[in-house]
Amino acid sequence: MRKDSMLRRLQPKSGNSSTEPALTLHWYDQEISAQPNDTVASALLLAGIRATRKGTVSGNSRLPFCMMGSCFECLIEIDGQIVQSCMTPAKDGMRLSMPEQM
Amino acid sequence: MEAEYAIVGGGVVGMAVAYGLQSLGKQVLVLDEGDTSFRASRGNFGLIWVQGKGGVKAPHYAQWSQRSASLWPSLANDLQQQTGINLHLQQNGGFEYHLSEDSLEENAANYQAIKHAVGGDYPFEVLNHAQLKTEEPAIGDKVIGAVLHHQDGHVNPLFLLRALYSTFQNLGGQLRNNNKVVSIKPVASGFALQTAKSQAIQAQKVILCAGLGAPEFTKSLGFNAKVSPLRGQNLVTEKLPHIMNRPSGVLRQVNEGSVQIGDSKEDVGFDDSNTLAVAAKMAKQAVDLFPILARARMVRHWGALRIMSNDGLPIYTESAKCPGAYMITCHSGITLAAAHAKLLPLWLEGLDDAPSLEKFHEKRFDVTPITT
Amino acid sequence: MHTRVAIIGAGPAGMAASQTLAALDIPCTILDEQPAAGGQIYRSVNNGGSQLASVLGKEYQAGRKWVDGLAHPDITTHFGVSVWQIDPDNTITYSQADSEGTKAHQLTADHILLATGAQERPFAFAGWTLPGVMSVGAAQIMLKAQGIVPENAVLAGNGPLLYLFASQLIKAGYPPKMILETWPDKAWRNALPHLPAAIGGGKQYLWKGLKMLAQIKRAGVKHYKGIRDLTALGDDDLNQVRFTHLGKTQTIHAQHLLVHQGVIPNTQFTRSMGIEHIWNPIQQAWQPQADAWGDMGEKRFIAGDGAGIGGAIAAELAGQLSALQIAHQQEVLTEEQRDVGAQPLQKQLTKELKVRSFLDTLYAPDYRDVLSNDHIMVCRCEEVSSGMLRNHARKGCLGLNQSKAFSRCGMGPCQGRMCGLTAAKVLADERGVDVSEIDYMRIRAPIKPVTLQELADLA
Repeated sequence: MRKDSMLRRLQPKSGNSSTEPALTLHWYDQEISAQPNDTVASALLLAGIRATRKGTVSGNSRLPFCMMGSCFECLIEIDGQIVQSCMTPAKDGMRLSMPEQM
Repeated sequence: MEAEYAIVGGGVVGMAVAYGLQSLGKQVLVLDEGDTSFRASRGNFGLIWVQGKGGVKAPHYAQWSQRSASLWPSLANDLQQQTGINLHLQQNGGFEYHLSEDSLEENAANYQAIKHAVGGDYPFEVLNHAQLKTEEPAIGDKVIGAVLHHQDGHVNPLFLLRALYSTFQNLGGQLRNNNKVVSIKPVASGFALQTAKSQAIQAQKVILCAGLGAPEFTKSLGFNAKVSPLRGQNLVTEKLPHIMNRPSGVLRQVNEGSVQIGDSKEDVGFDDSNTLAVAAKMAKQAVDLFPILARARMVRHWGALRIMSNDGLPIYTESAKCPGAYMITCHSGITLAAAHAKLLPLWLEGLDDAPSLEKFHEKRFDVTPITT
Repeated sequence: MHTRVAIIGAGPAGMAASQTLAALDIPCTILDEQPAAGGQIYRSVNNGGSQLASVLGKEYQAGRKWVDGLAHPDITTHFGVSVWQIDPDNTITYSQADSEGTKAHQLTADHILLATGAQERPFAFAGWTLPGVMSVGAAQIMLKAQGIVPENAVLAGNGPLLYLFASQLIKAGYPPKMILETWPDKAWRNALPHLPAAIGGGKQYLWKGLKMLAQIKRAGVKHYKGIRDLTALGDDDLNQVRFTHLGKTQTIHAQHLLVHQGVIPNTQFTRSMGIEHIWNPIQQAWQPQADAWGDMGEKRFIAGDGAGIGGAIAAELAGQLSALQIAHQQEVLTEEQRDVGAQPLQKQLTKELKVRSFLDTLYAPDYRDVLSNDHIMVCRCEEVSSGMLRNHARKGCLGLNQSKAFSRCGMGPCQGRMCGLTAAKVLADERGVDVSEIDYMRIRAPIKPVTLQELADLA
């Protein structure tokens, strides 16, 4: 991805410890940092992941689309359970992967 | 004369017969209701099921199902050639699972009796848990065994309907949707039909394939047979990795990966809503059979009204009062689709190799008084 | 578990209703799937840092008082719960996560108030499933809830939210790269007759809109009006955006394309409950049938954007009105007492809604591209294109139920939320009828996926 087209987290004007990355998620081999107010989806997006699942018909890459639980594009597998990542608060140590298909 | 045959009902029964007749060179017109009618054909499980049909009392139904199952590969092949649609037909047997020794024994004994009644061609085996586990590695420990019948299988029922729609029209058949038939009258040259959209249609012969939708005509055309609604609820899961090798009467994995869970038979009149109590029961059974399903998510739950005659068997009948009017209805529209497409048209046309369908005539419902 | 009034949704309508009920000593229970109150418009309003306050604006901060007002002994709140079934006897079944996983629970209620709000109108265009394409609402949620912004985003579509978010991005220091605005055919001609009413009741909204447009212009954001053929391009990942403007085709680099064409009521619940829906031709969306109190019959109410798009203030007023009628139906208020309380609210609500028809017609969605391009994916879940839907329509699929059976459009996990409206438009166009004549797909509970184990536990 181009360096000028990332997602950025706004930094607070005053130094504030609540913005220190507090959590680590695992996306395959990659470590993703997250904050307590992140959802799994926002953490993955911020980390620059560009595919969190594959379309079930053609296998095309998908990413979260609506971030409010309507579109179901954000389905991923967390510790063996398939959930909507945009509706799941990030928790330290979560193991994430694409949902397994036929 | 607009058509040689007017078929009332564009579900899987009507369309299979329509396709078969049109393939014989007959001119067929199908009239179908609207988008929100009950449509049993959208509520089926997709099983091509031989085991258990008919029982010892009606071996002719078992044999009819077997005949249809044997014709299915030819139907699927024809439809794929004609439309390019792969129906995902799989016919390598089906299971009936058991959680107790008693029920397994009872099942085996019943099938043994049917085997005898049909003259021996009834290939089934009884598997214990260990044997079952080699066939279905994901099967749960609570399942003590299963009956495997080799003539069973399944197919994608919605693709079947879609393929029938497509090929029927490509062969020159006429399909008029959203066009409920409101009256059918015998006239000199056949029958005159009127539709809700005020269309007047003339046909030499008329076939009622309207499932639950045509009680008003059965009487006026001289039929006595009655069908009643039987609700079946279904749960559908999200798409899953491959879990099941064969279908069973209550559980099957569709070609796309989702698992379909069924087996409720509820006598609730014309109520096609889905209920939580039944869903919970079916979910529990599914998890008992395949524990890996515990974490699978249900994404759809529907109820559909299916068709049941008084004895559960199909009805194939010509009206004595109005010759040329026929009634064709059944519960197992998918299993029998091949027979409906390939054999019923021969019977309708009175051709030489027509099947003998006397035992499916509605006169079997006539009450015979017991003479003392 | 039982409650006198169950409120589904802790957005403006739900919060306002709860506080009217509480003021009348009527205990109520709010269920919301988010971790905190606010709904979408006031999302995370009590969590965001002070720096976000200046970015998000003072209308957003107005939500705080409603969230604070939830701290009342008569108001019970359950967050992080996913309601998935509501039975005819008003039994609510929902899932809640605990230490052992998710479990299903049931709650019965004398009255139910649905305050389930809106969703964005699905805006289908070529390439919209590419990674990097998101809705404007999605990006705004990430800003509100996580303080995350996209750099050099391209915004496409139309509607007040598009301008609002553009101005929020500018305030945050990350102006959008470009705004590509779609204009419905004859937008001004259709909207002009509604302008007097808008000026009469909604001057402040019009002013706000003009100010945002001026701010966007001052920031030097390239702004094309009346674009067509919006296309997202890239090899399995968004890389470029192409569009046509005044006959000329342009292609620009982009990795974030944020799209929006208005909001529509979220009708999943109401449809699953068998409630009749009517087509609103000005808003171009279906909404549940309800009276002026939001009463849908059988002790079920709806208030807020879920009843018809009106915005946050209208939602708060509608929530309070529903609460008054519920209080009357529960014999806590006489008709006269109810009317005394309702009268100023009704007056304010009427004024509040005066700007709607102007905004709805000026910023109507533009469906021309999806109706003229057969290759646009209408159903994202099952990858069904507009062309495939047209084929099935020609073969006899007259409504969305038959379409669904043949194409699988609507059978995916989103249950038609992302495709239903577009599919209806395509079918209507193919059949040459008004979209109001297209039978919508049958929506049934569970309206959110539930594990089989959760279900089995209820047996």
